[in-house]
Amino acid sequence: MPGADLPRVGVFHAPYAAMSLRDLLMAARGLCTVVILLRESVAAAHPDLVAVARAFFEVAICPDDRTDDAVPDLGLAGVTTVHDAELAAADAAAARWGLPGAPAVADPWDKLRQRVAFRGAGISPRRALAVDSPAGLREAVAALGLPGALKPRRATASFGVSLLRSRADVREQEVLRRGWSGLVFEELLPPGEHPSGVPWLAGYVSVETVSGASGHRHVAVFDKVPVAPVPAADAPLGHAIRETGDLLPSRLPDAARSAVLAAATRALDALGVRRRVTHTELAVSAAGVDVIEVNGRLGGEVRRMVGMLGGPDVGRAVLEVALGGDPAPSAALRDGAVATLYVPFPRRDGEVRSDASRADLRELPGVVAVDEVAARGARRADTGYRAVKLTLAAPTADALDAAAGDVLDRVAGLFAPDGLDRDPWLCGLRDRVRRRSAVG
Amino acid sequence: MHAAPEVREVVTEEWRAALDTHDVSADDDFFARGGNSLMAMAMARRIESRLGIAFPMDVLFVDSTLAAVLTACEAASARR
Repeated sequence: MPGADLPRVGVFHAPYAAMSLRDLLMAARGLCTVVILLRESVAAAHPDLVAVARAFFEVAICPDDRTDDAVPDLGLAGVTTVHDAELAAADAAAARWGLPGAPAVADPWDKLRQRVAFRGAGISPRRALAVDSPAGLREAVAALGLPGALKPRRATASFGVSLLRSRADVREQEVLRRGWSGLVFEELLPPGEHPSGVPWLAGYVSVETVSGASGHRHVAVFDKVPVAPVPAADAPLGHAIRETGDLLPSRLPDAARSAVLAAATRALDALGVRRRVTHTELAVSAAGVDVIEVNGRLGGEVRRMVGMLGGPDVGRAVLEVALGGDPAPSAALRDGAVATLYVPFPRRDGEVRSDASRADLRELPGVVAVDEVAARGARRADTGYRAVKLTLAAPTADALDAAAGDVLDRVAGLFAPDGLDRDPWLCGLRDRVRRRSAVG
Repeated sequence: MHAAPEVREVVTEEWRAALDTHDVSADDDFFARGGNSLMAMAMARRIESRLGIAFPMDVLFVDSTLAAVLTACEAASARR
C-alpha cells in the first residue's frame, strides 16, 4: 500500500478549511499519510464531504466531546488542522498525547489572552476586557470607551465581529446579539491607509509564518481588500464585517514590510507559538503597525496563491511541523500578482435574483478561476452570502488592479438585480480601484 | 465498453457542465479553473452513471487535467 511506511498525521477537517481534501492529498505526497478526523456533528452535516474523504483517506469519526480518544488507536505521529473551528480539538489531542504542536501556553488563540499578552510584551497598547452579558458590555464600554470591537474570543473568520462606535451601537447589541458567552470587547484601531498609497488596499495585512524548531519563518505577506459591513438587520450578532479579498505579493514598502514581520515575530513569541503554521493579521498605517490577532492555522487560499507565484508548498509545511519537523521554506516568489476576491451580497436574506454564470466571469481578462458563483433562485446563504469568489492573476500589480476594476464592474452589473450595482461598499471599492488604475 | 470517441464526448461534456464553461482544452486543470472536491464527486457520479465505469478520481486529484482524465476514463472503459 503506497505510503504505508510513512508517518501518519491526523487532520481535523471541516468544510471551508484553509486546505481542501485535494490540497491535503497533494501536500502529503511522500511525506506522510493523512488521516482525516471528523467530529460527529461535522460528518452528520456534510455526508458528501465524508464520501469524498473516504475516497482518498482513512477517515475517523470522533465524538464531539471526546475528539482525542482515537489518537492512540490510529497510530498518529502528529495532529493538526487548518480550520478555526477545529483548533481546540487539534490542540487538545496534541497536548494529551504529547504530539508536536501542542500549545506552550493555555488557549493561545483566545483573542482576550492575545490582547493581554501583546500589551504585556509591549507589542500593542490596545486594551481588552471579557464580556459575557449585556451588563458586562456596558461595564467594558465604560472602562475602555468607544469606539471598540466586540467579537468572540475564539473567532471563526470575521463571524460575530461588531464595531461599536456610539452608545446607539451598544444598545443595538443589547437588543440584537444572541449568545453572550465567550466575547471580548477591545479598543478599536483607528482606520489607516495602506502605506503603499494604493487606494483600494485595506489598512491591514496578513503574514503566514512557519514556526519550526529553529524559529519563525515568514513565508508570505498578503494585502487585503477593505472589509465590507453587513447591515444590522441582516446580522443578529450586530454589524458583522466580511473579509473580501487577498492580494499577493504585498505592496508594502520595504520599511513597512520589515516592521510588519518584526511585529509578527514578537506576537508569535509572546504567545509561545511553536511547530505551527500561523496566520497573523496586522494593521498598517503611517502611524505604525499593530497586531490584530494571530490565528493558529494556515490562512484561507494561501496555499494556492503562494503556489501560483512559484512559492513553497505552505500546506506541506503544515504537515511537516505537525510531525515535529523544521521546514525552511523560501519566501521567494516569481514575478506576477494574484488576488482572490470575495464579493458579498449587500443583503443576506432571500434568494438570488441575478442570473450570472461561471462563463460570464471566466471570459474577463485576468480571471483564472471562478471558484464560486451564486446561482439564480438559490438562497444567498448557500454561498455564504457571497455573490462570487474569483481568482485573478496578472503579470504586474498594475495590470492586476486594472483587471480587478473591470471584474468588479462586471460583477456589479451581473448582480444588479441583487443590488450590487448600488451597494455602497462595492461602489466605493470600484471607485478606489478606478483611481488606482488611472494613476497606474 | 464504450467507444473511445463516446467516452471523450461524455467526459468532456460533463467537465464543461461541472465548470459551467464552453471553452475547454486538454490542458485545462479542473481545480485551477475553480473546481473543488465536491464538484469533482458530482461530476464523477454523472460520468459513472453514463459510462458505467469507475471514475478515476485519483487521476483527477493528482493530475487534474482534462487530458489525463480522458486517458484514464478511456482505459477504464476498455477494461470493462
